[in-house]
Amino acid sequence: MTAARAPRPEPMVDPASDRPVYKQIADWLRDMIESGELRPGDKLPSETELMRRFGNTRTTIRRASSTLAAEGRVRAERGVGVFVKEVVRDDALVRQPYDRLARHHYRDEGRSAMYIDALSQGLGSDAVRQDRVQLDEVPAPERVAARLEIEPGTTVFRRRRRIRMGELPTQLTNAYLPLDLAVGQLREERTGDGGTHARIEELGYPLTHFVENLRVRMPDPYETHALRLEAGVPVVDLIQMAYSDKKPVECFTAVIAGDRYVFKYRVDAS
Amino acid sequence: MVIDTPIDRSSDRPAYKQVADRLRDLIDSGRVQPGDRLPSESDLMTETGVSRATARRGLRMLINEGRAESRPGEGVYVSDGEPKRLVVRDPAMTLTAFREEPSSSGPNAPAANEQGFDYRCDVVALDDVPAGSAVGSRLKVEEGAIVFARRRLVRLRPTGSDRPFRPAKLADSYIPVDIARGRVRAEHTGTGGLYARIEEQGHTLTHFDEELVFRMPRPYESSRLRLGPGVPVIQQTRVAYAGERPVECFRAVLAGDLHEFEYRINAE
Repeated sequence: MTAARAPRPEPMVDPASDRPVYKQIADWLRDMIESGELRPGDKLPSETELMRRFGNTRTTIRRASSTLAAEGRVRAERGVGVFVKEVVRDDALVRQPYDRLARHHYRDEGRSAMYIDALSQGLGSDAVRQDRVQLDEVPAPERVAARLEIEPGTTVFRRRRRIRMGELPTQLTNAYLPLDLAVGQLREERTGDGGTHARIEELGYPLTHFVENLRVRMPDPYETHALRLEAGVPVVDLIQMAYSDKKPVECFTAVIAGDRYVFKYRVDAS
Repeated sequence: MVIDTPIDRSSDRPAYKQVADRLRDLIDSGRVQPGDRLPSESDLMTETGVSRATARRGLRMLINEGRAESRPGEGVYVSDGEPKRLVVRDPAMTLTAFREEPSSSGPNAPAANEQGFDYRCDVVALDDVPAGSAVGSRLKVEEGAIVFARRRLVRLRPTGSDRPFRPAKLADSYIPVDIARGRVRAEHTGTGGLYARIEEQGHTLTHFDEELVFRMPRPYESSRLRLGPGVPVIQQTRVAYAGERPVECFRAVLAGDLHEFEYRINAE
C-alpha cells in the first residue's frame, strides 16, 4: 500500500527572500518534477496559469522556465507549451566499449561498433546512418598527432562524419589514420563489413587494445545545430585510440550528444 | 573599436547570437586572452548599436557556454583556458589495489598526487537511509528499503597552490544493511578501505559495472560543487558485485571541468 501524498500547499513566493522570485518559482516546478507529480512528457502549467497562481509577470515566469531548460529538465515547444523531459532520453543508446569493440563483432559478424550501439535499442544496422561525410588529408591537429606519435602537422587521412540513429543525429566524428594505413577501402565512403577496424586488421595490424578518454563540456553553436541539441544538454568529447601492440593505428574523436548515450563499462575484479 | 564586423540586421540570426559570435571570434582569434575582460554591455552598445538587453543576452550566451565568467561589479572575463583535469583511470587496477597494497588513504589520493593535485576526502554523513529507485534497483532491494549511506566530499587543488581546495566530487556509497556492520559503518574504514571490509565478511568482489551519464547539474550539486554557469557534471554509478550479489552501489557526481575519465579496453 502506498501512503496518500499530502496535498501540495498552495504555491507561495516570498518576495522578501534573498532568493529571486523566478528561482523560487523554478524551485516549485522542480519539486513537482522530482516528486513525480509531473512526469517526462507532461506539460508544465501554462504561463498564464502560473502568472495567475504566483501573481507575477510573464517575464518572471519565463525566467523560471528557462532556468529549468538550462538544467536540461524541460523543453519549450513554440506555441504549444513547456514539457518535462528525461535528462537522458528514454531511447538513449547504450555504449559498451567492452562489447562494441570486441573482435568477433567486426571480424566474424561484420558488425561495426556503431551497429552494436544501435542493437542496444533494438535497432537494426539500417538505423545507423552517416551524412556530411568528408574524406580528406589534413595536417594532424596537436592532440591527434601526440596520440598517433607523429610530429604535429604531419599529413594524416581524415574521415569526418555525422552519425545518426534513424533521424536523430548522435555524434560528430573524425577518424584519423596515419597515411601508410589509409589505403583501399579505408579511403572510401563505405569501409565495408566490420568497418575500419576490420580493414586495419586485414592490413596486418591485429588490434590489441583501445584507450578511450572522455570529457564533458557545453557545445559550441555549430555542434548545437548539427546535433540538434536542446538547451541544457552537454556534449561528451571522446578520443578513442586503437593500438596494434605499441603502434597507434587510429585516432577516433567524437562529439557525442550527452542525452543520447549512456556509457557502460564492466571491470573485472579478479 | 574591438568589434570590427557589424551586426547584420537583415540576417535571420538574432542580434544577440551575432553579438555572441563576435565575442567568440575575439577569443578564438586570440585578440582577447584568458583572464582578459570582454567588452562590457555599454561597450557593445556603442560599438554595435544593439540594446542593453541584446548585449546582455550575447554575453550571457558565452557565460552559459563556459567560455566566459561574470565577476559581479567588475565585468565579464574570458575563462582561464582549460583548467587542469584529474584523469580518473584504470578502474580495474584502482578498485582492487587494496588487495596488493592495502593503505588507509585508499588509491585515489596517490593517483591525484601523481597528477599534481592535493587531495582531500571528508566524510559528510553516515546514515541509514531509504533507497531511492536508482539505488534500490541496482542493489536489488525495494525502493524505500533501508540501506546504509556513506557520503563523502572530495576536494582538490593544484599541488603547491595556496588557493583553497575546490570541491570536486560528491561521492556516496550505498551498502545493503546486512553488510553494513562494524567498520563499514565507521568514519574510518581502516586499512584497505570499504572493499577490504566487505571482503572480510566473505563477499569476494568479482566485478564492477560502471555507468557514466553526462548532464547539467541539479541546483544543490552546483552549489555544493561551486560550479559556474555552463559547467556540466559527470554522474558515475558503479555497482560492486560478489558473484550475482550487488554489495555496494557507488554514486558520484563529478565537476565536469575538473575531471576526465580514461579506460583501457583489451581487444578480443
